[in-house]
Amino acid sequence: MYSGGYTGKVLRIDLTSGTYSEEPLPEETARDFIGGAGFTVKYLFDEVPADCDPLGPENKLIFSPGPFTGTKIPCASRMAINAKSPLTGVMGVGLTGGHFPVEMKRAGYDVIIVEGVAEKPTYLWIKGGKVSFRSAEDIWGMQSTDVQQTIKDKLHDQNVRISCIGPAGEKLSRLACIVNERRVVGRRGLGAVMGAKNLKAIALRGDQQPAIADEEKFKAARKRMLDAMKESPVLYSEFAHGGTSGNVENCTALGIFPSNNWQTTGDEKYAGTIGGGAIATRGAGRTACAECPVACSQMRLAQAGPYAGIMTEGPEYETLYSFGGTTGVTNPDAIIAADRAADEYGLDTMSAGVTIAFAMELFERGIITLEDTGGLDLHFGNDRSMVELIRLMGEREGFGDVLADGVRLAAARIGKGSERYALHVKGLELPAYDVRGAKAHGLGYATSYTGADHNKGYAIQEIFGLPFPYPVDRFAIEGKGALTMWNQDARTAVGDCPTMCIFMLDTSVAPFLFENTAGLMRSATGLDLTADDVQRVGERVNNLARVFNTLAGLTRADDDLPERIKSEPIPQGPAKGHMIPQEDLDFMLDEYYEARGWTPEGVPTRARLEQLGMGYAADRLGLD
Amino acid sequence: MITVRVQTIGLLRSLIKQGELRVDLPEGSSVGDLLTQLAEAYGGQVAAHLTAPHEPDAHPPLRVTVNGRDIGALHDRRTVLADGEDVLILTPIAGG
Repeated sequence: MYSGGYTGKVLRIDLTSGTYSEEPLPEETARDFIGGAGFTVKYLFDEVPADCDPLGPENKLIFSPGPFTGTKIPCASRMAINAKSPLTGVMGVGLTGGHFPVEMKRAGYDVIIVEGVAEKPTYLWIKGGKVSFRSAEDIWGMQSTDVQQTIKDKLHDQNVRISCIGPAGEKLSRLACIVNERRVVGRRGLGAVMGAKNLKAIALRGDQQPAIADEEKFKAARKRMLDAMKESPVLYSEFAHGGTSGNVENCTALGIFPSNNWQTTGDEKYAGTIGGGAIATRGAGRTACAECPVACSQMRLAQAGPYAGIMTEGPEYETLYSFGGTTGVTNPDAIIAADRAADEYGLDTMSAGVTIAFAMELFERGIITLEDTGGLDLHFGNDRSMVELIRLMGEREGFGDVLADGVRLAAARIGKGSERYALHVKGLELPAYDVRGAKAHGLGYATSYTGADHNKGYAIQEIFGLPFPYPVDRFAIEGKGALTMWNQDARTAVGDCPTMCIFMLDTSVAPFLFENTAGLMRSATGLDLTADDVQRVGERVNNLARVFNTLAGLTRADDDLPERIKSEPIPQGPAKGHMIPQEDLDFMLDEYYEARGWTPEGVPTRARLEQLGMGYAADRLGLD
Repeated sequence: MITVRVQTIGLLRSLIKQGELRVDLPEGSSVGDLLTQLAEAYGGQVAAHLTAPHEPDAHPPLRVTVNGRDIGALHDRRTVLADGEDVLILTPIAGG
């Protein structure tokens, strides 16, 4: 049995009846799924019908930090949230840092499951093993900063930690995120699931400290990781001072920074205008997630024009793409303002920006006009229109209502062939890497269990040039099936399940990823996991999520890429001429399914599921 | 002689104080020869970064691509350069 790391308790809250209960965390669940994304995938698989309405009462919101969250292990202060996604219709796992995850462990819980629908707007107050259901009618409609401050004032405690939604979540925008302080679980519309439950916020406070199974071994495992962080050629010297923003220069140099809705990828102007160096001129200090010695999160202050004086935490690389490159905006102050506005309305910056870029391309092509947009000029680069559209989307007003559910639904509403310009996989808008010049990363977008998600199978070999498990040619398609499986299982096993910061892992621990997690698991929890066992956890989670998605109706045809990626080559720069035609995608998919031990149609087999100890998943699929 | 275009970003760029260089090399020169020539030309911290040992099981101190391809997928520092090729040198960053 585990004897540390975990609190051992699962809190189940029923909003319909206004009741709650506690139950033990089974050892088998801890051993097989580690925590975080693993726990949320397992509980969602077990308890939520795959064919349910994501915005209906059967869906559940599941929160889970990792076994190291709240201990003295740095960079583990994260948690996963999962529900069936209203944006994609499949597993919706997202992760966030900040301080809420540590507070949740301190409050005594490894998992919180929120069920049912509250009769009226409600927020939850969790402290000392008790859950209080409180009226949120007077904070309904508030933006995320005001919500959190008002709840702290109501509770007379400024150290309460809160996860909440903004107006976008209340209005069931499928791009709505869940906000804790200035960090978010951004993607896949989990904020709308919260809104559909009439749940405005969860506030909690705790004073418990997770036990450590073996203090001496724990110190040694922790020291090995801290030493690797110190020896990193980049973590403290570069990454701490710029965060992810320097990736604009990196991806521009590789020719894969997308611009103008991916029509002009390879344009070099963005490195100098909105890259790490440019955005650093708006620096206003740094901040850190709980227990993090790196403090990579940058505060930025807009300097000029209508945006002067607006401050935000970020924008991170992805937002520099979504409110910068792909919308053609080169004004860093506008990106700062857009980032802040999206956080306040509770909108995913990535999907919101890509959706606005989609509308801009339609506008420039004449598919929509000023009459459709309510008078907004949507030429690429019009930053004032972009910022106004965020408000309209957050409030579901005017043309914002057409865009508030992402590109797939917007294209369905607009018609006129607009789907061709809607850049998504399984309904999730594309992240900031033009995968025509990074093929395994593209296969990751196509096959991730959450849609086009850069973080579920990040190709560190192609984007960062890291030679683990081996170096690759980013333009080649051969061998990318097995590599993508490795990337997905690694990311899941060492990042998403133990809820550890992937930035730290990539910059410092990449040479011994699995052993790092195994050593920490053995010493902190007492569970005797090897490096191979940890890698197997990643494989288990990806298979179980795939079974859920298959039950939800997903097929090989959904493991797709947008038409632009398949038929239009990158027009300029170091990746000029590259694309992923259908036959190349099919080649990589065949390799990938074979590596996974799935059928050529992408369905997990009983044999592989039983090897992973999940015969129950094969039963649910009805496999012989 | 051949001439290659060398682009640096991140820490190296701030040390060299120049984002793009044109470097002349003898015919048949490799990436390793290029890094040695740059280390000798700039010395100091630049040389330390360019010649830092690369342990096989450690985080690589440097990323080098030739025409967009990582040299790890070619012939590492033995990769032979041709006239007009583009070389990118950076510290391997993270984040997205």
